Amino acid sequence: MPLHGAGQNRPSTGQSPDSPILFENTIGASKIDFVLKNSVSPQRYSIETMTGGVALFDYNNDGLLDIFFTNGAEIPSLQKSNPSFHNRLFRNNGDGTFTDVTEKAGLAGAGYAMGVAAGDYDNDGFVDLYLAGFNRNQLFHNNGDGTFSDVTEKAGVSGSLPGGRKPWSVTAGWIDYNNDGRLDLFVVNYLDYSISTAHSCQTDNIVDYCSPNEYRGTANILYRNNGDGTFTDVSQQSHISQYVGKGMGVAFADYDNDGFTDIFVSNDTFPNFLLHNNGDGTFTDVALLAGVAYNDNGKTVAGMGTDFRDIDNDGRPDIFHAAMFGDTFPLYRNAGNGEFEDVTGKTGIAAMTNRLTAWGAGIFDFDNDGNKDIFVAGSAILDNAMEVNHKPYPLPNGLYRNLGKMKFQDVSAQAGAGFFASAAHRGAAFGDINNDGKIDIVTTVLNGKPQLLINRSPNHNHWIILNLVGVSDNRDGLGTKVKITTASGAQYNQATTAVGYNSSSDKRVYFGLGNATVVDRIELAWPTGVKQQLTNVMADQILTVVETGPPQKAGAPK
Amino acid sequence: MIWLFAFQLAFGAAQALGPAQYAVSPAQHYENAKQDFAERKFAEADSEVNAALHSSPYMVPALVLKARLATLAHRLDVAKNCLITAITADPKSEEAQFFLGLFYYTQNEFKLAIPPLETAQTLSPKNPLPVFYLAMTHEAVGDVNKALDFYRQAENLSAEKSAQGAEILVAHGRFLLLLGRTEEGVEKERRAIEADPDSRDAHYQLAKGLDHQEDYKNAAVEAERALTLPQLGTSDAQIHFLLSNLYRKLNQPDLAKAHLEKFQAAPQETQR
Repeated sequence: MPLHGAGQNRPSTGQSPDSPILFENTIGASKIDFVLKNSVSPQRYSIETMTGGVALFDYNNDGLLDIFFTNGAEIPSLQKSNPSFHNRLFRNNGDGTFTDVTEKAGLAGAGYAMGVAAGDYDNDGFVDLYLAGFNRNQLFHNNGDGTFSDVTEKAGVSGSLPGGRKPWSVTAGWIDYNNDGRLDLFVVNYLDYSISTAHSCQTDNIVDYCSPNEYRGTANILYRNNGDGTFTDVSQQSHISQYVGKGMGVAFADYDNDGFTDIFVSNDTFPNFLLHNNGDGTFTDVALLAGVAYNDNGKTVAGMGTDFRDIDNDGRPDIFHAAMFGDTFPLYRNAGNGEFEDVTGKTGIAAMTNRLTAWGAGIFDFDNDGNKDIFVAGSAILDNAMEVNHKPYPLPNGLYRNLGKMKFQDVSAQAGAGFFASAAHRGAAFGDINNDGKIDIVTTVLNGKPQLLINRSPNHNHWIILNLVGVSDNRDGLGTKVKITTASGAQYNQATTAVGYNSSSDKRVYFGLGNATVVDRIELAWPTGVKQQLTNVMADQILTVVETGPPQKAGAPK
Repeated sequence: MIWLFAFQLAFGAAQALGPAQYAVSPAQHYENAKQDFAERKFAEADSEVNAALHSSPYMVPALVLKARLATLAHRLDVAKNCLITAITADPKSEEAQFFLGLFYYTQNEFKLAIPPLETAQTLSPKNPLPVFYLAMTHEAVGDVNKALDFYRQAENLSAEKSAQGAEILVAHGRFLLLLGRTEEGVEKERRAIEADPDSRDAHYQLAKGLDHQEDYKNAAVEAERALTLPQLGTSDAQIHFLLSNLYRKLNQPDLAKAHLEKFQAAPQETQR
């Protein structure tokens, strides 16, 4: 099944272009009582401005997305010295409210947490959590009874660099890089930084957070899943450790359709990595030749959260990442020959993002018109930005509507007062929280309550959500490529939870169908090589797709 | 690049300011400040302009000069206050209106930049600079039609064979290239080179346009020429990056590698 298209732009769905994308922030009524704490200090330690992960996942398999938040710790002790620093798990009650189940679940955590990655690494049908943090990472196994166990040491994924140093991990993602049916773990590391040796940075005698240029970067880590609850650090043999960067975001997609999932890492003021999966257990950074290391002008930007998804319905995953005020947020279109084209300017994204700094990011079809839109969670980096550079610290979220033919429109200000409210946003996770077919967003806010942005868009577009269940593949189906065909044309997506900044999104695969009420064909290419096809599928349903068909593991290394 | 260009143009515009004064007076202090500024003696200029404003706090040209000095010193609050005071004192000062628009433009405050630039344009309809900045500002906010219209106007207002005219053509051509109107963009860049054969920006942008047209050989010639010209806007790193890509496409791996190494060795300007 060729899952790469012919470069077409999808025809119009008939949806009125004036139908707004609307979100309502329902955090007040949700009973979610959580404030993200970073322990801001007079010294302005760099870690303070970097935390704020959120995961949307169904921990108890009741069909409803639950919400997990990471949290900071006391500085300099890096201890969660009181419950206000605990990470938090909120169970979705299905009526718009949530219940704090952190204690029962055993997910309060330890240390200064940053990012979170959700994935069922042991294929037992219950989604597990990996937490990335400053000097301390944790793996929590979901026991299937509402509790989790810290299995970090047993699993061997505490995170350590050559010489035994503990890294500053910002985020992580689950990926089956060797197509063996088990989820492996990619950990994104940032700066070579320690509280005890950190120096202070100042602008005009005002202490502020140091530029990453002040510190060396660190290599990322790849753990191979051994299938027995343990992992092996294969950073060296996979060549991942060769690439030292300042990672902020990670996203996965098979950009060259060779059957092996590749890795994109957005780096902060440092060239991005596009780690091509060679299919033999090794990776090669091809970002420079592919045209995604630097922007069109040969410049690095302050890379933040990222997503790696087909945005123009040509079957080839494209790359977007957020950045900083003045950078513009790069959008790289996959040209199909191993190269990407920087289309930030010609799509209008440059003009929409040149005055914004943003962290979380995602490519999703928020109005279900068949064209994936772009979301970013805005905020400056310095909490004293007004003092230092006379610019506001809290910023609004950004929403860029995909008009088709690679043109976008800034609809942020029309997306609802709660959506457009300025705040110190950080992470963002995406998924349909109330199962109404429209993608919702949860954002974290530093030293504030999160935003629970429920999608209230008044359109009547149709949709389908695919809940994949791997059998010979990983149970979550992560890495599965999906092509759907309707009367309006073809669309492409893939199963992944690694989206944005610090965060983990719903594993289900989403498609907006416009006015199509039937999906003529759904084609799935599972990572191990299993091909599957469904025909004449009714729209407007959450469809569980259990992997069937013979596995084809040719060439898949163990 | 645009910021640097803004500064260069603003600097040039300031050279043409009002008549010299001959007595020791606030006006003389201002003249001294202007002279010091032109000679890049910024501390002395600041001292002189402060003396002028001490005696004559609403002297508009002095306020504008103070604003420009404050901008150089990263005192953006001071710069903004001076410019707002200046246009409050004399709303018909084209200079004050223009520099307030320029100030907002360089701070990426594009929507705020438009009204003072429009006023400056009205006050001095034959001056290409306010129109040019209106073009770049509308480009920055994504208003393509207005940007193109202002670029055309600025082009018509500028002297054909001048450095200023060349800079306008370069920016217009770059914008057309960005819009995918490659042929028109290349034509503008060629005209920019005719107007100013030593414009590094023009040769660089022409190289990018030729790259889009898959004329890699001539693109490489233009980029190599750009490298030999003085570095003002386009950096060596940018040109090496482009040349590396061009030579790779021309199947000349040694040259591609050499430029890549130079690109990677060049200091990156990314700041945070």
